[in-house]
Amino acid sequence: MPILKEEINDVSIIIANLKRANVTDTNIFKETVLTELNKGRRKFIFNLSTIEFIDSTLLSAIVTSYKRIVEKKGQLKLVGVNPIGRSMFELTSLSKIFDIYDNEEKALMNFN
Amino acid sequence: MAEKHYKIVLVEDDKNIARLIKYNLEKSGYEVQHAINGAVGIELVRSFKPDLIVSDIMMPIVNGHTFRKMLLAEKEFASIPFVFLTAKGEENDILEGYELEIQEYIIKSSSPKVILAKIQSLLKSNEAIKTRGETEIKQAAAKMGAKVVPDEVPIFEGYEITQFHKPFDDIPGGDFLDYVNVNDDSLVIVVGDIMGKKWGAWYFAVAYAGYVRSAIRFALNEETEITAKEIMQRVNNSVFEDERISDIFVTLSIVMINKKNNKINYCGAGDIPLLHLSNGEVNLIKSDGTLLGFQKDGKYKDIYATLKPDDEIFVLTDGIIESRDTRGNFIDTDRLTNIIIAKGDINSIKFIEESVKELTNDRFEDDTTIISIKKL
Repeated sequence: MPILKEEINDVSIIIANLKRANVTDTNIFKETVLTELNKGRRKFIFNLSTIEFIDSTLLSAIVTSYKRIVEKKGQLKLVGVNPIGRSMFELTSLSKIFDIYDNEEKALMNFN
Repeated sequence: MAEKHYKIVLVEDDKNIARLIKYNLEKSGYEVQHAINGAVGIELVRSFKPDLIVSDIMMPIVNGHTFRKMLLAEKEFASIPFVFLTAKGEENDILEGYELEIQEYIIKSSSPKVILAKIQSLLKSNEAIKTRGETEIKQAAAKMGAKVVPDEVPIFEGYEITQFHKPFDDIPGGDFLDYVNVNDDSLVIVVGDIMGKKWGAWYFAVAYAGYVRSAIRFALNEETEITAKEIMQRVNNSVFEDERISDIFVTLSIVMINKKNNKINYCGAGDIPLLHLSNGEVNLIKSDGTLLGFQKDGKYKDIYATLKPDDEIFVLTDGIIESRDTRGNFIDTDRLTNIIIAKGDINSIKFIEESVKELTNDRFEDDTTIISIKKL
């Protein structure tokens, strides 16, 4: 499956199990987040460890999901963003908006 | 040889037959990847994104019929041309195959030359249909005046402006640019990038280009001194409040040049920093504003720089710096900077275009736009 989901206590971890996401994958990604939100879950980690390159289609899905999570007063942490992704986040000022951690353990420790 | 670089997924459980077909297809210029059954095939289609799928029917685990049904269930894969290549040659087998919306049914006993000819013919006719459809849409778009990239750059005294724009796969996409004369002394240059590619993004590019123009006109009517930040904030307000495009995100660079004082006034929204070439060095001019439509207050800022003679400012979308060379390494900002420095007296845009084409083997991965503003 391209998009996987795990739960650790009240945190939903959405894993993009892909090297590069296409439109179908990103739609599944957004729907997965929406389903979790509708179930009342508010804490999210997006694990992007296998993603080689965050292109604009995936970035748009991440941003859309972030907006929906924040609207519901939820929280989102990103993990596994590779150096290319990190520099892209820096370059486009998105690093100021997203909390990015090296791994899930660190992200889990930083939820309010 | 195949005229265009086509990718084919071949699904066949008999390794010897697969090797033979793959060999013949590759010899004809096709890029082929092989899967041993439908289960592996669907994953391969997902990652390899082929132009054509050729599949056997009788295979273990997931057979050809089930594989075809799995593809039809996914909107993105249902339209990829599909061929059954099988030993099942009875009339009923063939009719059953065509019921699964396939394009061709080839019996394995056909000679390799016939198999190849059928595949070539199928790809050609498919390409012709695609081209016809795109031409019609392009003509309709042109009639509507819905151009998102002007054909010509404006003449602005004391400056030389040049542009390079290449849509992804040569289909109008998400990049848009515009030049607007604010008054006799000032020209506004707008470069935007809608997240997404091809027609889906192009539709929104048309809408956004309209938003930016109307924001500029609105501000001009107020007869107050307008800044890049004010234009950006107005566009952001409109976009943020428009629910129809609340899921569409856009990066935008607004650069206003004043030829009286040779100052540029820049404001960016999640965009790639401007590159400023001066005395043989390139500096980044970075803006901290967030993507358009993302927050009510995008925290946009006005940034100013003064241009000396021969200074050059580059405004760009991420197309160039996210393209990869033939080794798979990105042409990042540092490499683009080095290209700019190495250009010498040659026209920058021409030099960048040729350098990047050479590095990437002319394979861009997104819409690509770069504009040079040179102070003469």
